[in-house]
Amino acid sequence: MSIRKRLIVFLFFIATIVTMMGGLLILGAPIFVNAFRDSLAAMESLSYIRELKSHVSRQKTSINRFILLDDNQELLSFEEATALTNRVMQDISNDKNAKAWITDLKSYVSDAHRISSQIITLCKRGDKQRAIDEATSQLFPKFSKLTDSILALENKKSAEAQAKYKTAKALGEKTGTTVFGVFAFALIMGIFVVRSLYASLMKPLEKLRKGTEEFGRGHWDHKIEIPSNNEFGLLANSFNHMAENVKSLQQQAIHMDRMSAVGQLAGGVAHELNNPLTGVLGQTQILLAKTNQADPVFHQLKKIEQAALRCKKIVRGLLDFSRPSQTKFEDVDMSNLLESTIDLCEADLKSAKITLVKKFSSALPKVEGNPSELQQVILNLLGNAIHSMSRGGGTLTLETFAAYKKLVFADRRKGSPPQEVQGDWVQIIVKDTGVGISKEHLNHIFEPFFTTKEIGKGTGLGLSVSVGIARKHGGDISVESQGLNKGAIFFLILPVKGNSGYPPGGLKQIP
Amino acid sequence: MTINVLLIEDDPDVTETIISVLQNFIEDVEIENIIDGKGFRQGLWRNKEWALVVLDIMMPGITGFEVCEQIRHFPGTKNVPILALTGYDTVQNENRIMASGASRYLAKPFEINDFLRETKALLKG
Repeated sequence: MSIRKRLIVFLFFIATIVTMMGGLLILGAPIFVNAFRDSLAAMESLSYIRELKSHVSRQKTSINRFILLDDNQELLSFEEATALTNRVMQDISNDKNAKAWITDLKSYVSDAHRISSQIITLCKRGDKQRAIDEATSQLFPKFSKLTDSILALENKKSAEAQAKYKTAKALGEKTGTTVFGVFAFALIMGIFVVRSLYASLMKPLEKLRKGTEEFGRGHWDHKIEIPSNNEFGLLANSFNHMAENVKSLQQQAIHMDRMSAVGQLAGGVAHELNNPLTGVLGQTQILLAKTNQADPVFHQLKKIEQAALRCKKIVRGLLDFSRPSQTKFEDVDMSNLLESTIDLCEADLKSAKITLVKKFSSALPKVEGNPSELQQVILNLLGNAIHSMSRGGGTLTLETFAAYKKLVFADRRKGSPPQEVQGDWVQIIVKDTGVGISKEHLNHIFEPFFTTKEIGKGTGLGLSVSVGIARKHGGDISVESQGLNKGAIFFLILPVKGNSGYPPGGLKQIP
Repeated sequence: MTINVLLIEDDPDVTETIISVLQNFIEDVEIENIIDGKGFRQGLWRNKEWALVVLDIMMPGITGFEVCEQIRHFPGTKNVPILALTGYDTVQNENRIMASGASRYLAKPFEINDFLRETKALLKG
């Protein structure tokens, strides 16, 4: 899964948890609060009833004592208890929750108070016996009823309050359990999600860090292995490609460096050799001019001359190799150049019994380059092909076409990564059916002084010079051979000058 | 009439070869050899009328380009044909020596036929 998807999932998860918790609170809290409030209200009613009970009890005791003992203190106590009873009754009346059960109570209280007033009046008049009778027959039964009623109510309200408290408690516990459950679920899931996210971020990051460290130490062979297709996998691939390219460039740089050093050496040696060689060749030719052909010395001199001429050719090759780059570029029609170069090889082709097959593109775009240098490259490739078929003949196929976009040369060379270069290219293929190139030679044929030709036939500089020229032109040369006696194919690629005007689809892709 | 040739060349092999070629194939030729910048700067070459100058581009103490320019600069030799020789044959060297005033250019090692063809052409011209 890509990191982006993982992050989205993570954020979605967080949002879900937050929504669940929020929803739970919004929906659950009012239910719990209401239940709690109901429970509180029931408790409050109960406390009113209990207060009433105590005041009524005090009323009863006080009036009883007042009647029996005629103690004014008891009367004051009774009046105080009555005032408190009235106040509690008033409080209950104001409480809308209590109104439902107050009606009966009110009548009992007012009856009790009315009778109490009569008895007190009787007592104050001194009619104690009648007061006792009234209290016994009227007041105490009233108080008993009142107390019973209050007790019944207390029981009822107590049960109610307990029930409501239980409901609230149960609801509270339920809410608590649910919240805890959701929280625990979120915590466990969160740990999993974060762990997976952490693993998916940190493991590849660690691999990338180690990989870049390896690259930093110059170990360009190192591969960052991240099998996933996500962003890290792609990043690792990019790093690996970069490393491959750096390695390839490094190898190229080493090669160029070696070429340059060899070039300087070759240039110096060639220059130093040219002076004595002028003496050898010049003096020999003077002697040859003076000697009769019939003279046996003549042939020996001729041999010296031939040897000197061969030296001249070798030194020439060395100089070509070391020659500083020439900047005079012009538009070159590679088809014309190929035709004129084939003309130069006509005799060699005939003597080696080689069949020439030409597959030239009729509309090859021009390239920008130095015609004589490019001809040198073609001549070298043709010369090598002819030489490879010099025993027993064969077929030389020359093909040209314009190619678009994909330059895959580097990957033909062992160990080099494929390189894609955008643009228009002219490709020239030189294919022979000659002796081929063995696998171990394939990697060396572009190196200076590498040759498989017998002594005196090659300097080992042709291909390295040709590659140098092709690269100077922004192109390249690569080779393919299935092995000994299986022929060889050389690919020369050169960039088209400017835009060739060919539509991308109209050009053949380099295979 | 004696043909005076000024040979400005430091290498004995080349010098001897050129002397041999000229003496063997051109009649009545007299050759003087300057071997380095010191010899050239002494200026004795100014005292003679030359039919041809054969000049090596690279030698100790002076470059062929400078020699060429000085010869062209001196009134007595400004029209003398100059055959330039080099052991380091590059387009740049060729262009530069021709720009300095050389009449012809030949890369070493040359074949004597080529050398004679150029020499004779210059002497006639």
